[in-house]
Amino acid sequence: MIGLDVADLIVIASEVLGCDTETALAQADITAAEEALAQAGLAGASPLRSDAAEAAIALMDALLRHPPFPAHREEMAVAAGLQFLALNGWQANLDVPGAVVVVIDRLASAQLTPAQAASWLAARLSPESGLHSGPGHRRTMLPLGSPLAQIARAVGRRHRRGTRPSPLIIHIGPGDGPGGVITPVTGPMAFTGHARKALVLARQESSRLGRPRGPEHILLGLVNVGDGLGVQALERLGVRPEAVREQVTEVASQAPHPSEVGPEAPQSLRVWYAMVDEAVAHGDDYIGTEHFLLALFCDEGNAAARVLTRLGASEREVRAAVAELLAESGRERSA
Amino acid sequence: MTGTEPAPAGSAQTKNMVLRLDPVLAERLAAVAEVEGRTVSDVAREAIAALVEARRNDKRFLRLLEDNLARHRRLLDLLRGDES
Repeated sequence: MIGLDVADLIVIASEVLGCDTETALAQADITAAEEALAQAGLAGASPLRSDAAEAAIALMDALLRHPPFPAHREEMAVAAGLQFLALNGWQANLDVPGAVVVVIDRLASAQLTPAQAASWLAARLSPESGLHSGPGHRRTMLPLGSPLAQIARAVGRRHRRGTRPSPLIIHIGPGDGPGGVITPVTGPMAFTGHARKALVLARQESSRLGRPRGPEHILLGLVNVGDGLGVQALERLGVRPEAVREQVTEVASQAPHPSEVGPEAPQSLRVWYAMVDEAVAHGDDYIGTEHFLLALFCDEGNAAARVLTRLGASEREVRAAVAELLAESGRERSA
Repeated sequence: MTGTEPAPAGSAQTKNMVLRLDPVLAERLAAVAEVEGRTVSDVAREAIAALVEARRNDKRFLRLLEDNLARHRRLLDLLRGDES
């Protein structure tokens, strides 16, 4: 892997701070830069760490603890980490910036271990060559002894054994529990009732159409639920459920039929990660239909995002509608 | 640790820098300084500046950096706001 040296950090800083390299060099705490690079294990031509996400997080963590530019600590740590990844052929799909801020804050304050952050980041990396509830919306508490809580405990045990935590475990079982997701960054996050119902309906829609569950089926599940913050946001934008169904059917009929039908389309995974990130960015400890809806825009090319945009509900408008609804329901959000 | 020292007349403000160097490298640095009749810190500062200049001419490095900063502009702005 290609490492970074002090000169790299100075050049990165000059771009981040918008100054020339001489000014950046004059402002830099060279000793801190050296300490950070030594801690990260990237100094020299042959970095010790072989895993890109772990190495990038190690670099960010080290720069947070030994900031060469203390006034721009987090910004520089992330910029350097992204540059390190790019140099080594990796692109980070950080679709929800608000969630990244939370992750970096938690890493900086040691609420998150580097291993947890690396697991979170690894799930969002792709090879560079690839470019290359409104009223009644409540937090659902996770009951002790539920399947999700059992998985959480199992994940906790794995953490203690020092193995890398799984980036995402999804549970939508047939039992009575709400189901939810578990990530190394968030721990368990339960689905709201509407969200769980939307996922069950999405699964039914994908089965009916004989395709793996993709973002468009999640959108169909969402509108078929008929209630919840996500649906209310679409209603506010004048998007009719019938129009969504028509458009999705049209898009699906044009798409090539997959040779093998698995449970999840590859595009869905990115939506799942974005969905969790939307909840994190909003400071929520549950997953609701509004997080589903916003996550559908993580990739402008997916069928759900295209359908919504075609129907006049672009990402910007959807975000504004969700923010309005949240404000009206008394929940101040920052993301 | 670093710190500032009074700027010599006609030059920009400079900083004290403490560098941890490999003993062999430190010896070579001292030798160069002695031969050229300059201080070790002068030679070290010049060496770092030369390295930075070399990196500025690395087109791939700069292209990736510009792409990265452009792609993640919103994130970096948020982080900047978070720190201010």
